[in-house]
Amino acid sequence: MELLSTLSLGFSVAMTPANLMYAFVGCFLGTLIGVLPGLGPVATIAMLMPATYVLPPVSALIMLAGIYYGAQYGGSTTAILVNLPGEASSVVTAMDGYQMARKGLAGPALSTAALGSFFAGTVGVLILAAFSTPLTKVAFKFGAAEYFSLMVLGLIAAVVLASGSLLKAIAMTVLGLLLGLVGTDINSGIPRYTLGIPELTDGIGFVTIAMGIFGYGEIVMNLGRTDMDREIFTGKMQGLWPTRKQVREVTPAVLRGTLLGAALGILPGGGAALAAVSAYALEKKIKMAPDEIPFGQGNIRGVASPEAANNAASQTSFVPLLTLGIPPNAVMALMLGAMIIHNIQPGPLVMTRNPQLFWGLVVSMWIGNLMLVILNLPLIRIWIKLLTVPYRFLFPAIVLFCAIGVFTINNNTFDIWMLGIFGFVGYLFGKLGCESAPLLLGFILGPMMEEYLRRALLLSLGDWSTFVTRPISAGLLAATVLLIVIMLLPAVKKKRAEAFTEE
Amino acid sequence: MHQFRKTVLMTLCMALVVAFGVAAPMNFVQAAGPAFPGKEIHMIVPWSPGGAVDMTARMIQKIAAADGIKIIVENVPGATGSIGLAKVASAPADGYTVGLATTSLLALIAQDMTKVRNEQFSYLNQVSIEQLLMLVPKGGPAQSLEEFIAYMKKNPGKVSIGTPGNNNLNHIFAAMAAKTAGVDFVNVPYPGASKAINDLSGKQIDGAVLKTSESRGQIEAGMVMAVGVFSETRNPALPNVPTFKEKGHDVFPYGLLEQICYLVGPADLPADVSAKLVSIFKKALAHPDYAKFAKDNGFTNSDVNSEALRKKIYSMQKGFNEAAPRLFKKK
Repeated sequence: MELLSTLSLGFSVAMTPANLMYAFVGCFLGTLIGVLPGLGPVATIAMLMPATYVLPPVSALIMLAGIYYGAQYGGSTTAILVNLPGEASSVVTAMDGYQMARKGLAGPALSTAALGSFFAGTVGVLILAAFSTPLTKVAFKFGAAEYFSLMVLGLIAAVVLASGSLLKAIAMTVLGLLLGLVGTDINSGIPRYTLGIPELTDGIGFVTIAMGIFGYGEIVMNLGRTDMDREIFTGKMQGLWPTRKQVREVTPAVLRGTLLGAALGILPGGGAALAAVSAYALEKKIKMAPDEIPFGQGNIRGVASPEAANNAASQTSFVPLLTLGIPPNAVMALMLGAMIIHNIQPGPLVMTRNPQLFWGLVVSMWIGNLMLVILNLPLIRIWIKLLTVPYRFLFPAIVLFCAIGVFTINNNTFDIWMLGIFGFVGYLFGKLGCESAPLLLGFILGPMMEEYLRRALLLSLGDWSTFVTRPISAGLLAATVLLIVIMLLPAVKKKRAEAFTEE
Repeated sequence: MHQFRKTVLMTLCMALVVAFGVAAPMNFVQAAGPAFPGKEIHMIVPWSPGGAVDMTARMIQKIAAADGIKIIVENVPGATGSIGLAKVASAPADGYTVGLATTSLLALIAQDMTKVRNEQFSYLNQVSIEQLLMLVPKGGPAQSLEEFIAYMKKNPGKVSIGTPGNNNLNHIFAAMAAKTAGVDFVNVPYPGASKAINDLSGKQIDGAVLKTSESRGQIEAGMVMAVGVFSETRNPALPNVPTFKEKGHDVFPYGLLEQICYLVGPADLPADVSAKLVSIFKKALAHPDYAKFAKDNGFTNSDVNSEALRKKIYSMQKGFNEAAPRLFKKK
């Protein structure tokens, strides 16, 4: 049982009192930072890294990993409570989570997210420990053509996501794709739609758009209403825990989300955002119980499944980092950097060269997840109480924190101006009844699709048949076609229409 | 209820404290004494946290701190380093703002893709030289430089070579490799080195031009192999990999071009301040910890500073200006 021996080695490293303390400090700091909209783990880890220079390498990495998880967890909290997704992977969480909060169900939404994430994280860590090496081979089968087909599937799923007018959803997705075009074209190195502004040559930041549209746009909408009509949360609040009925709905959703997330996380080009989107789309396709709340209006499955999926994906995204030495995202790149500063040569050989560090880190991921649950369940009561803070105090705080958060990403005031502009744009969308989630998804997936499409065509010397002659790519495209056909089937169409008239 | 209000307020206060702690690398200005430096030196890294340049900055920060010199690393990414370097150029010339520039800037200037100019800087210390490698997947059709060149000859215009970004030094060297075979090639630009090496390991591309630090781990693990070094000398971390020159291929028809990282300040630094900065960083760069860091990451450095560094940069700029219109497609 190699798995057991390696895991016990990991526990022996991670369970020392000092390392437990560092994990706790990391999770605690991370949670605090995560609930502040816009303040992300990258800025936090970069700022706190000098403080870890004096620590032993394992402790330093454990603490930094704790910050990462904490911040990610805190990001879902703001998505649910104030409709501010702090990162791409929590955009879909906000869709039903915020509606739940408005109906007084913030407690169950938050606890479901916490427990679902914990379960998914546990499964993710086990997969990571047991199957790292064979899974790498699967990831190698994915070339540009396969990634492109995967993105197409994801984008179609994103359109299916919309709960309002299909036409508006497609329009918003396309608008998102267009916004994603801003920046330097990877293939020619030519700046596109940058208006000669150097700050735009790297494109518009995701956080800037999300905070502007969701955060500032929402605030302006609220201030435009009279005091009476203003966003008032139902006074009656259900406690912390989900009811038995909710648990019954949530359990299979968490399982589905975990599996889907774990699978997508392994692909270095996939990641947590795609996992959350796909999980949500999958839940919408599953038959609803007769008395269930429709999606987009506070369905608890719409919170549980994507949360489980993004957490499972963020665990399994360690597979490429640890087996190939390839960081799947900015936080992981920073963790690699931290290893270098601590004189550890990162790369595929870390597992054999520094087994203590490797397995200690893997186990501390799980411990970090556990600590977050323990830490956050009591905190949920406090977060919920935040909703009772009068709006005149709450909104200036959100405005301030969003601005600080956006500034920390690039240390550049230009981004704060962009935040304001997108706030106005978000307000317009709100007035026009256009949903913003499809726009964000188009914005995330669009540039990735373009990158892979063009690379696939470069490699096939311009031959489009590469997408159907490569078996995995062909399979993914077939699944996309199937999805479209199902969507267009008269029976489903009717059901869709029914769902909307219920509103 | 009051209790809860209090808790909420407390939480908000705590959050505020954390926010400011994180957001603002606050510059509590101490009374500037007569001796330089009298306060923290801000080192602008024009790239995101976590990259090679950022790590180098943080290593220097760590070493200098032991000497009582406080350095604040400030990441100002964007526009291939232009935004951060523009910030250095426009900072007050008092020596408290310096920045790390790389060869990437010279490639941008050569194509007129930035407003930053070499004249806007004072030249302090060369910080690193990163050798670029010609890499191929392990177990692929070519396992040596000769075989790779033969493979390109046999498949004219079809062999794909990945580079992080394009129109940069990596791109120039990829073109030079193809030139040795006398054929065309497919340049596949990636948004970063990690995606390129991933595709190379999975044999999705035929070759890649990357820095030693970006590929050493995968070379050692046997996923990719280096067949040639684009440099005058072999890499100390990879002593068995020949240079292109040894195999009789000239990859420097435009003069010596190297991937270097160097420290700059705003133009017109007072001579005494500039000399003091050079000596501070010279000492940090000569520290054994820095030497070990360099060795572990497969880069080298030599003591090139002040006027010598300026001359080196200007001569490389000339090489880039000659190479750019010949090799990069303008669309």
